[in-house]
Amino acid sequence: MDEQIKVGIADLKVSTAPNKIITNALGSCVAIILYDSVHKVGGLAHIMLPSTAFSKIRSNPAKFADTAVPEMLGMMKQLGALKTTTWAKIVGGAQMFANVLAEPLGNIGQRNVQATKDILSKENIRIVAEDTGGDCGKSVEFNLDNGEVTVKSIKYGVNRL
Amino acid sequence: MAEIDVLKLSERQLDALKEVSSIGAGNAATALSQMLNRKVMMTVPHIRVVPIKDVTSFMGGPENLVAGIYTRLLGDVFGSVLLTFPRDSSFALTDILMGKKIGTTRILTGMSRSLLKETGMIVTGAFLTALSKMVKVTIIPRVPSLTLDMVGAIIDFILIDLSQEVEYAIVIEVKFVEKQTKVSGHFFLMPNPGSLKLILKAIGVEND
Repeated sequence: MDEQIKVGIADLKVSTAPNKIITNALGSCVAIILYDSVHKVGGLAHIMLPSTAFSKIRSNPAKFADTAVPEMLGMMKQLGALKTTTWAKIVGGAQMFANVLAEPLGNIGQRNVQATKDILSKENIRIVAEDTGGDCGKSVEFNLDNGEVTVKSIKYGVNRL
Repeated sequence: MAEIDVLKLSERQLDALKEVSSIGAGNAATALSQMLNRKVMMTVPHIRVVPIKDVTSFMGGPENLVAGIYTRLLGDVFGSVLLTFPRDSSFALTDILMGKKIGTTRILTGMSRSLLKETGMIVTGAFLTALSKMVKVTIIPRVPSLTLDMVGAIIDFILIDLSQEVEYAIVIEVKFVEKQTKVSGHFFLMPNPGSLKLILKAIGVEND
């Protein structure tokens, strides 16, 4: 039986086929999806901030892009994944409100996306697809059987990555 | 002075917060009643201390579809106000404000968006005026923004801001309802930790 694993905000989970990992209502947060298509092992992190430099509380690696990726890679390795056959898909990083750019964290969505791309490039993980930016919320379902990522939003309906 | 730990707020401090919030809520209800020319009921405020990741759980779950009006607070009190209306309530509210038959509005256009933002500004302004008078602090609301989306996606931006400093959020919640048309909404005030301390100090319960 396949299982649906839920990832909350500032949370991450790894699993194997045929399970599915889901996360709901991403706004400025980013979902980082890693998948080893050969060994069918994958993970999903729902990060809030670009790096630990942004917060006084740093204990939770799933909260930051720069710590979530190495953490997930480590957990996936234990399930038999190899870095060389692992790719990434990223979703989220929206700017939900039009007039918040003047605020200190006004472009946090964009910064989360950039930090995610930076850490993935540092880890030599290829980004094969993304659905980032824009101004609407997104929910994500990640199928560990085939690596397919289904993105749902109110504005654009269903987008398959 | 030490940082305020929201987990260690005493009964008396929570009661005091509830008290000042009640006066704010009453003011907001009056303003909304006048604006709609209908009787609006407000509940006694709920003061909740919740882990940041669980904030959406009492907002109908992260995927709950709402019209959200977000106002950033500046001045002595930093924080955020989020006013949410279930989608149908946001439509009905537009109908009332435009003098149309309830059920006419089916989509939020430029005009209805601007009316909802104004509603947000008036409700938020009325609440904050009462609060700032009582605690004698300056609170400056920025221009509100509106979006129709999943509540989790709307609020994560506010949570990200709070999560830089704390793991728990203090959420002051007021529900309101207009009986005739069943228009309902939620008012959430989320002060930043430093501001909470200032409020508690001003109402004389800082060290209780």
